[in-house]
Amino acid sequence: MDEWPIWLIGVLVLVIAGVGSVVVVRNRSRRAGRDEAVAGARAALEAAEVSRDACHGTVPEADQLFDRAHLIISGSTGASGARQAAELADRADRLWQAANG
Amino acid sequence: MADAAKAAARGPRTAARWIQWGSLALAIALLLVFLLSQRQTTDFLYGTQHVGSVDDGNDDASDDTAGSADGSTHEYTGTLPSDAALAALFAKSTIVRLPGAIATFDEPRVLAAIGHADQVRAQQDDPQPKIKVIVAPPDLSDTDEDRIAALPGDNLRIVGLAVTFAGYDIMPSDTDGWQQQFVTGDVTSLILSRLAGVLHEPEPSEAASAVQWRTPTTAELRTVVDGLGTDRLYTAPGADLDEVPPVAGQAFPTTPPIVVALPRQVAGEPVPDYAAALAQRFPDTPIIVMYGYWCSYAGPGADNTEVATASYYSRYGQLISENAYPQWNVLNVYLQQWARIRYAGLFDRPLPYQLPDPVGVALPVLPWLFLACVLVFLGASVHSARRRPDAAPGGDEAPADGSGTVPMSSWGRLAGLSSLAVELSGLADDRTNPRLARGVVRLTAAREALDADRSAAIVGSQLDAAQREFGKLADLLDRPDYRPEAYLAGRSS
Repeated sequence: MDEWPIWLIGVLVLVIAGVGSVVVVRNRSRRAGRDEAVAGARAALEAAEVSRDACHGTVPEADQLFDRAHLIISGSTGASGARQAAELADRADRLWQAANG
Repeated sequence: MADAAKAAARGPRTAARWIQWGSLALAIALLLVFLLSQRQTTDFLYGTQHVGSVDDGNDDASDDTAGSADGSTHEYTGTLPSDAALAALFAKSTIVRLPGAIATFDEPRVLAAIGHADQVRAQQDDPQPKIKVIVAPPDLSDTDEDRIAALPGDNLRIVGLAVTFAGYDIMPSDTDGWQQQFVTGDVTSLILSRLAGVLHEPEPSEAASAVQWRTPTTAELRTVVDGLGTDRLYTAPGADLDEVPPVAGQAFPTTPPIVVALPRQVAGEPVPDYAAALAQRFPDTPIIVMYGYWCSYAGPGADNTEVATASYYSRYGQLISENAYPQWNVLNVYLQQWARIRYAGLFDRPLPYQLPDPVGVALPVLPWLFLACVLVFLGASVHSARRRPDAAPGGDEAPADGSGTVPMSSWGRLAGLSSLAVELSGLADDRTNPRLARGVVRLTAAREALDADRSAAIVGSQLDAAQREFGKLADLLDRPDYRPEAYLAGRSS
């Protein structure tokens, strides 16, 4: 029975490997989802910027929405915040487009 | 072509997956085997054999005195006369021989020794009563033994063949002694050595009362040989062995033994040595000759005889000397002793081959195998975790773009939409420029997502957004041929 530490180590390694693999996969997918959402939000912001620059008048509500979206995305935000920012930017974009006819 | 490439890409990956989960399953299986094998004990047996006692041939040897101690399991055959008759017999002479007694001894020598002992003890400061010898039948109940012990004076008691004096049971200590006790029932030397012991005198030589052996006559031998049946057993008149115990198969696995059962022999006369004579007649055959409770052996492996005899009679001698057992019981346990010696692996005797237990053989390697499996699993897991779970979203699998157009790879769509943007840029004016710019922004985002190996969904959503912008742009310009659906379809055909 001198080998019992081997069994113990083996079982521990297995458990750690299982926990580790779950954590790694979850972290990676979370980070990937966040990165994707942030990238989407940036694209939406850029698109909204184009609309704002093309707009002749000013739309205060759209400006406000855009600023809020910008504020969210410039901080370190998660996936949900980035999605919210993208939605705000889209709304601002639509408002400016509508104002522009 | 694409299928082959896909299969080639998938091959090593599935193999790695097989290795990963296979090693995990093996590790768990090894762990289970290890845990289940923990029921094994440190009890080593070199063979299966039944250990029994003389009483019934089945009980474990640890309770081998149960039969004589517990009246409920043993039918006592020895009987004593009533108290009055016992007292009358006791008063009559120095040697009191009760009905049914089996022990014999050289009476003149014993009487002389007792006379000497009485004389010596009379001269001591504390005079003691004269010694009497009580010869009782074997197999007495505890009450009957107590009745004998309760008789007045310092008596030498012989129950069956067991001699007790001055608080001691007297046992022979060598083969000659046991032979005297059991072959002929002669206890002279036991009595004399005990009396000498009480007086602190040197013990007399036992040679005078040793069993004398002689070669059996031709007629005697023929009687025995002719009497051997198919079971190779001869039971002489006066002996009570009716069959050879089955344990003989374990004690002598190769050749069934020849067994000759004789009654207890007459003391003082030469005893025919059938074992040696039969061993000459039947070479390479185990031969057991029983004289009463004495078993003598001749045949193959005869050098074990001393071990078997000494271990058997030193362990059971007391029990079978004071009780009456069938010869079958005595022989059964004697044969078990042979089986024990055969399987004990003592004295470099070869053991019967036994298949090694695979678990027992593998047990020392098992933890290392387990650890190896765990490490392989760990390595495979790390290896598969290093590579991207969905490596190329736009690479080899075309996402449905949801607009009913021909499914295209994301790269294809990006390329198509990019060239559409170039063509549209020539037509665009102030009114349409923002749309073109927004579409290009979306295309850039899609391009970045593709470069960063992002998921197909985000790439598709950006491409869809660009496609919408370009669609509206084409509508504004009233150029249906620049609608992205039509443009992309034209490119891909």
